[in-house]
Amino acid sequence: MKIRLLGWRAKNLRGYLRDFEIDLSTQPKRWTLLQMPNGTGKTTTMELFRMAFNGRPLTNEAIMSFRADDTVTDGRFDCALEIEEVHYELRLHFDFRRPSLHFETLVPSERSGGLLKGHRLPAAVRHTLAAGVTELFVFDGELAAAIISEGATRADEAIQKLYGLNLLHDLEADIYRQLNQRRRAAQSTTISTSARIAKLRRDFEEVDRVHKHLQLTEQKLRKAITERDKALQSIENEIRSIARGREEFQQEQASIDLEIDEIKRMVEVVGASVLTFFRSPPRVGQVFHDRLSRLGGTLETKRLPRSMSREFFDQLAMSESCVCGRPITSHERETILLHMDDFLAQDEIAVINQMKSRLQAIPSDGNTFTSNVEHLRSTLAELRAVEQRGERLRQRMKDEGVDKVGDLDRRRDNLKRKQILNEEALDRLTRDVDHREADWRYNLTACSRVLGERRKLLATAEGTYDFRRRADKLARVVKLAQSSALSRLRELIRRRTNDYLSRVLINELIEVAAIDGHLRLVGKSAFRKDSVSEGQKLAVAYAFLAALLADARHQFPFIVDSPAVSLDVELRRTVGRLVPQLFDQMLMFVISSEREGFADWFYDHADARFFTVSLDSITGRTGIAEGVEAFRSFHAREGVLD
Amino acid sequence: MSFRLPVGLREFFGFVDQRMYARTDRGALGTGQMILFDGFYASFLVGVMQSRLGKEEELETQRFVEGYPNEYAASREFIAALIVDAELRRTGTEQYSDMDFERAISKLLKVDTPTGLSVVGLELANLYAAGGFGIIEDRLVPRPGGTTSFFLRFHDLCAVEVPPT
Repeated sequence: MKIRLLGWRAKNLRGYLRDFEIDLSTQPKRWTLLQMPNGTGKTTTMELFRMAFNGRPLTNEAIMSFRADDTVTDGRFDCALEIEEVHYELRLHFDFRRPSLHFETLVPSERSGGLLKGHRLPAAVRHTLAAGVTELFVFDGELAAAIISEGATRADEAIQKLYGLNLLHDLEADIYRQLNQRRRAAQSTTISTSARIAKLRRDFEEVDRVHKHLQLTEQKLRKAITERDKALQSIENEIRSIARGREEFQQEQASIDLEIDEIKRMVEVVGASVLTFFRSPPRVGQVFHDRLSRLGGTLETKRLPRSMSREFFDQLAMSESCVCGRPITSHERETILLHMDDFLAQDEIAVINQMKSRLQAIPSDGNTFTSNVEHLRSTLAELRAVEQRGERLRQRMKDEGVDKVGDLDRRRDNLKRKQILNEEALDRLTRDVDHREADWRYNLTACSRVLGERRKLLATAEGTYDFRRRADKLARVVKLAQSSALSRLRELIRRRTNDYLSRVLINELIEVAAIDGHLRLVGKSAFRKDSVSEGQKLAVAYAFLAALLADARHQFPFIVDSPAVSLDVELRRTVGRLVPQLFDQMLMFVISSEREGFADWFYDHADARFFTVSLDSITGRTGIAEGVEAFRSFHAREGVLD
Repeated sequence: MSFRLPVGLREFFGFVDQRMYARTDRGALGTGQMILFDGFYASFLVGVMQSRLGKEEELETQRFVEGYPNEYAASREFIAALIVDAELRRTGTEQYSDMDFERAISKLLKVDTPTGLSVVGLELANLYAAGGFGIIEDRLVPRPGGTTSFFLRFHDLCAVEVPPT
């Protein structure tokens, strides 16, 4: 469903939103820029939008935080929307005396007069909003950082919420809820065996506790390993920067860095070719090429499949005369029908022909999996050689008395030792071993097996074994559906994100290599992720959001607060080039410093609309001026109109 | 009828949260994104190369994937042809008439399935993968920890293992 924002009204709310109204329903435009000085209600308005879309109750404290001042007893926020050409108005009534907040929805097209109690958007939209997607389109700049940052799971969360995969989570929880109900019912009818069940339950709970503890240990080890990786990388960067800062090593370090970057880029390119050629059987090895060619040759030589089909003879047998004109008597007919099955059916011929025609076009241009593997091997060897040069340079620096390098080297060695210990511990913990050989108290895989066995014993005793088995099976199917859908959506959204990026960041060629929890970035001009600029990160986050929202079930307006405030002018231009093209309707709250490099892009566009909010420092009232001139000429100091 | 994975393949490739080598391939240089089907296909290649059919019990009971992932769309007929070749090689075709030859091929293929393979053909693909995975698991010790290392060693394995004549 397509959802457009038609305007909003705020009354008696904090942040100078005492009597504030913006109407976007007349002359609807794609882009609306609202210039508001700091402290005049930008953040509050964003919060109100989120509340309006979410429709969730608030704590008393939260309700009171919206009060304009002690003189007002109630407040109001109305948000007008158009959903599939039907007008909706969400109304939030704040009662600051009780305190309470209640929702009303005005749908003028309803026969009843249209004023409905509660949050009554169309059910499909409400369900999507209930999953918590509002933060994706009423956009908080912090989300951009979280989507990119290592270890965050926000990208996946966003996909799951927007495409309803969380419903599968709920289904899984429901399956186990029903199992527990069944178990409780069974327990109440098997009192005679209760002692045995109690013993089995204690056994199960014991291993369950250990299992949870081991899972926690695994998480901690992984976290420590990731953090140590980062620390090692940061030491590496520090050493490089020391070298680059000293004249005698500068040139050598710069040359090493450059070569490493180039070789890594090459490894990536060759690596991708390795994968491509691996997936093509005739190119993966000579033996496969020869076998396929020989089979193609045999089919050709033997002129197989024969072109006459079973259906042809079937029809012929039914005819009065043969194609040569001779009459077909009962004798001929019987003979034809007797031998008809010696021939293949038309679809059987077609499938062999399909294979045959592919075999006639086997590539043999010398570009193979082997040639690419060899290229990859030699490129990796080059990389090792350059890295060794780096090590030698480091040694020279130490020899020439650059003390800090020695310290950093020691720290690095120390970290590496710890890292090895952690990796070994993780391996011991997670290694798949026969659980008869491993103590389940210390090995997660063995522990999982014992847990399964004890769970089975307990379930059998409780009389819920079959139900449990079916529940587990169903839960596995649900999980599989979820992970498979997530995996496909990740890929779809990754490709679309890259498509958007390639159109906008033409010379920078940065792209998303994978979505796995967060976004993994690579770029031809910036191989190392740490060299991706903040502006590029923000551009990627916006492109990701646009890709995410593009095929979602509902198209929401994109509302963003200070899209470019933390960026310098150059980076703003990067983001400014990208953002406007991505969304069908955008509302942007900006401050005056964002005009240069960002807002100025919109000045010449007919599809943009401008509002400027000013604050009278004496009366405390806000004024709203519409138009590009007022927008351009507005001057604000410390949030107050000059 | 679907592709089924050899038992232990997911673990061998460290397949967790829809990623191959999810736990060991940190910060490694990229050879693109390997998918689980790559593991199946690598096993299948070794299986047909060595004419090694695995056993039914060496396959997971659950279905893996119904048809080819997009990455393999162009290889569909080649994979079918490798099964045909391996099967003709295994059963021996010296005495075959053209009709026998045609029949033997047609038994393995089917026009209206997602894989272009018949039930028999798909079953053979799975069993060759099981057989090949046994060889991979046996030869690639210790297990590769990432995609780059896997491809280098898989390549060496194919070069060293001489196919039976």
